[in-house]
Amino acid sequence: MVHNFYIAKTGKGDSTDFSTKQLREMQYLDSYVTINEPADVFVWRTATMIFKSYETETGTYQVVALRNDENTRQINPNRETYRWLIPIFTAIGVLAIAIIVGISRYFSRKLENRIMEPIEKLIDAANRVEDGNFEEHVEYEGEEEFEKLCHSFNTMQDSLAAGVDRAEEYDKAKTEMIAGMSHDLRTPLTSIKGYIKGVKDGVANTPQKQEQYLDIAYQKACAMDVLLRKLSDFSKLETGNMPMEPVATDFGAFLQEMLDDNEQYLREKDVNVIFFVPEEKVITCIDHEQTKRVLRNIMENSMKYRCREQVLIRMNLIPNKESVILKITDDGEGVPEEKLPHLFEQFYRGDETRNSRIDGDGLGLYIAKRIIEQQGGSISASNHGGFCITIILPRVGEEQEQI
Amino acid sequence: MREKILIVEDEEEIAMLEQDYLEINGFQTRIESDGEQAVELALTGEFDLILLDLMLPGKNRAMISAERSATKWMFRF
Repeated sequence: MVHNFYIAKTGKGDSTDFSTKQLREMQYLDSYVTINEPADVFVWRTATMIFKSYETETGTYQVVALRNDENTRQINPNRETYRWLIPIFTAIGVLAIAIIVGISRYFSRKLENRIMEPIEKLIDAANRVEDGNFEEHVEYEGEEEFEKLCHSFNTMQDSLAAGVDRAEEYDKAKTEMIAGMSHDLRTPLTSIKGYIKGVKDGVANTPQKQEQYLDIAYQKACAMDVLLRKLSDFSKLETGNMPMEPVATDFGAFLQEMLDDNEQYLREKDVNVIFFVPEEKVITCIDHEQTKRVLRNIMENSMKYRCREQVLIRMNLIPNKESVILKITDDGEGVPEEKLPHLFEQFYRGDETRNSRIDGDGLGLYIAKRIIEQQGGSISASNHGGFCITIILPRVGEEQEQI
Repeated sequence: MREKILIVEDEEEIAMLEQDYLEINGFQTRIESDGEQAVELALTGEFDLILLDLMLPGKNRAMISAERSATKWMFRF
């Protein structure tokens, strides 16, 4: 670092080599500051110069302080010298960007191929399913996530296929039921029409005959009424419009009362009922009307499928801690094992040959199941020396019984 | 001699009504509700006419048709 001080006496003749004005106009001057007149500071990149004038008795002196940094001057780059480097750096930068873009495109293409393969397979599969083909599965091995996705797709397809099968089966059963129903409705109607016409035509030529004809017509009308009522129950159950008023009831007393009320009817139909009732009170929450309907249906089934003149029905009421079990067993031939699980399906008719002596409408047990389930219970069928229906209902405390 | 008619019908009331109508018109009738039995009866040749219900338990329409006899047949649909 070089510090030079010059002291010049100014006055008569200006002995300094250059004036401040000249300095101010010099090239490359970075800044110029007037500190406190008459002092001036000039700053260059390589040097700083301060002018200060002093008035003394002997004259005016001007002090010039100069800081001159030799080293700085050598290191300090001349802008012109490095200008040629700029295009080279630019070129390197452009090249680097190009390489990065290239590499990333290569990898993204590769990734895209890996992704597109399963996606295309899935799109094909979706189109296939849309066309109703549920047979093939999506076969893909590779990326774990996509394998999982393809697996889920296959699972979904399987359950869709099962759903379609179920819907088809349901539709078929429904169509068959409608065909059966119309037959079942037409048969009594044919009798009604025929017997009334028989009276009109005079075929019933004695008062006894007339009485008999009208009786038959009336019975057939009642049978039609029952069937139509069942249909209406079915639609009410399906749409959730079946009125249900469960009341805490002594189940044993309820069953006994029901049997007593129907005593005459049962005797007419040659049905004997043995009822085993426990000593203790068994309280359960049931809707009286609906439960009677279920029991009537079960007993009528036993009458329909009877294999001899007399029907013997055993009813066992078995109390458990938290439930009540009611077993109703007849002395018929029972139901073939393979048909047991289907008995409670809607529209299922145990007898496909349409034996019209046995008017199964495919609704009775389905309605029974819905009613029992709506009361929080369950119903099942088995063969125990005859056809046996087991109903399980939740038991409630005695204090809840409403009298 | 009165013509004999075989009524093959499993619906008891319908069969009875048919019988009443036919007998009041001077025919002799017999009711059979079982298809197998009906075929055997038909093959005896003793009936002039058979009234056949097509939805029968025990024997279906095709089976009965296959065992046609010399009897004059009439199908009831």
